Amino acid sequence: MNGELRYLLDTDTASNFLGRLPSFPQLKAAMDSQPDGAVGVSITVAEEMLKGQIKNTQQATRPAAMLKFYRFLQGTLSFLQDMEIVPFDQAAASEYEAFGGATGVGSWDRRNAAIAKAHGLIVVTANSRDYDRLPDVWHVNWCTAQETNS
Amino acid sequence: MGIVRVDPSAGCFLVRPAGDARKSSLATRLNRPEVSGSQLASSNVSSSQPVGGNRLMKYGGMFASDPEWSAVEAAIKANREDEW
Repeated sequence: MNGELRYLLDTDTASNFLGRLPSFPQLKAAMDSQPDGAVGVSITVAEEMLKGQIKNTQQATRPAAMLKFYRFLQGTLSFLQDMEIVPFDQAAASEYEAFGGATGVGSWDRRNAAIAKAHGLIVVTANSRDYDRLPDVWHVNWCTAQETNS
Repeated sequence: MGIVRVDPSAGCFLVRPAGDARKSSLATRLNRPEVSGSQLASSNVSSSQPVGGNRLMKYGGMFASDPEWSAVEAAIKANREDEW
């Protein structure tokens, strides 16, 4: 890794990057402008992406669907292996606990935010509405040209 | 209301939440001065600008031609809904 880790992709952005990049030229430009090592994911985002993929492979009954979904899973694993995966460590656990449960924000987003906050990283997400509710969590939206804080 | 800063490397805005006590450390690390609205408008990166590239780009859009990627998104969404 050449660059210092700075950004954590949220699940929505990682999914858009893999599956919908032509629809998000801003995301392409932003990702392409980062040095190696500057973009990673949290272990919770990796978990969430893999859970979704595994759900599909488990439910596939036709060989053609298996072929498709295992290809998705394989590609996603390669993508995750090529970047830093930031752990849910004791510092993140403390941040998660500090958020409390009454934020109105789902557990997955709180876990990801706690990891970002604990490690001084910026969440790259299109879900600014929920991340706005969590104190002291930096976030940016690369899926649109502009972002505002509501 | 949080403070909006431009993120020139990404070509879009970085949102600092209100009450961020760690402004100085993270702002220093990011080296992102606050800028005016006109500067913000002129700083957006277009997809046609030259870019540096990194090894993650080989995965960019790797499933974009496959309409069944939406099934992956649906599964992730369903798992999230189960969370509640």
